[in-house]
Amino acid sequence: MTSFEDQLRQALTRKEPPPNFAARVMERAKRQESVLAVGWQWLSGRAWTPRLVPVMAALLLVGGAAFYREHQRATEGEAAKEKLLVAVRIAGSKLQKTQQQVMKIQFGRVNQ
Amino acid sequence: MVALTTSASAQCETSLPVFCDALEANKAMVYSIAWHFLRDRAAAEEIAQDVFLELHRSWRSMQSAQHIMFWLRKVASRRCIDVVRRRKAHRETGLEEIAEPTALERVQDTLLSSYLERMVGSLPEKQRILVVLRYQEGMEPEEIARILDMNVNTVKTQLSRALDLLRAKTAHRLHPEWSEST
Repeated sequence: MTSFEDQLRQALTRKEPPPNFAARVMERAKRQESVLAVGWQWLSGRAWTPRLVPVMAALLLVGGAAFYREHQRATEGEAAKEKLLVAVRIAGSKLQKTQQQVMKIQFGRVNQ
Repeated sequence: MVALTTSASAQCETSLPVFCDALEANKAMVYSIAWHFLRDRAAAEEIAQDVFLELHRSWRSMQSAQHIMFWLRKVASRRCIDVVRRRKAHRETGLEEIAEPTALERVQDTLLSSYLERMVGSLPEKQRILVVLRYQEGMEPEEIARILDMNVNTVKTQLSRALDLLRAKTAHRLHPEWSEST
């Protein structure tokens, strides 16, 4: 270990957190625990909770199907847009070629 | 579940005495990692609190005191890097932009530590966390590699680059012999 590394080690010694740090963490931990406990009690205390499972599954299925349909539509739309852009590009280049031909013919007439 | 002593301190008279002991034993480590990385007391405390809350949530999966320490170092390091990455608006000061040590710093060695701390704080984030884990925690490159999911050789290379950067900026100003000891 070089003296520079020793100095670095000395500079980076551990620091104590502010006073009451542990108390603040414990307070938040307790709050977190009680929120979880209340949530669990609320869920498990409901007799109708098991009956919700098929409803939730159905909702998930319908939601998933809608999302998939939307995704498909977006993909198809993107593909169509791409095709259109290619067509426009081809038409543009053809138009440019035709324009050049016309210019050539016109210049030819003027020179004659 | 961990098998730590169950003597709760006065600050933690709660239903979680074992967690409380782990908190007491590791709070300086986690806070210091965040402080040396961010050099911002409020942010360091917030990160340290969040890390311990996450530990509290994951408490059941902890197997030993060593496992807790490994886990805390890992989560603290990752959180620090995330915070810096999220602070898009916060402009990082490059090593080149940091003012050279003043004449006072040259004569007073007591200021050297704080100068070095500032220099470490301005390193690129990956190198900074490596330096903090290596010199604050005294970890070997192999352990650091495991914590940060990095290749050992990459850790060694990055550490060596970080040291070169720090030396380049400080050695010739403060202790000329450092530049020769590379």
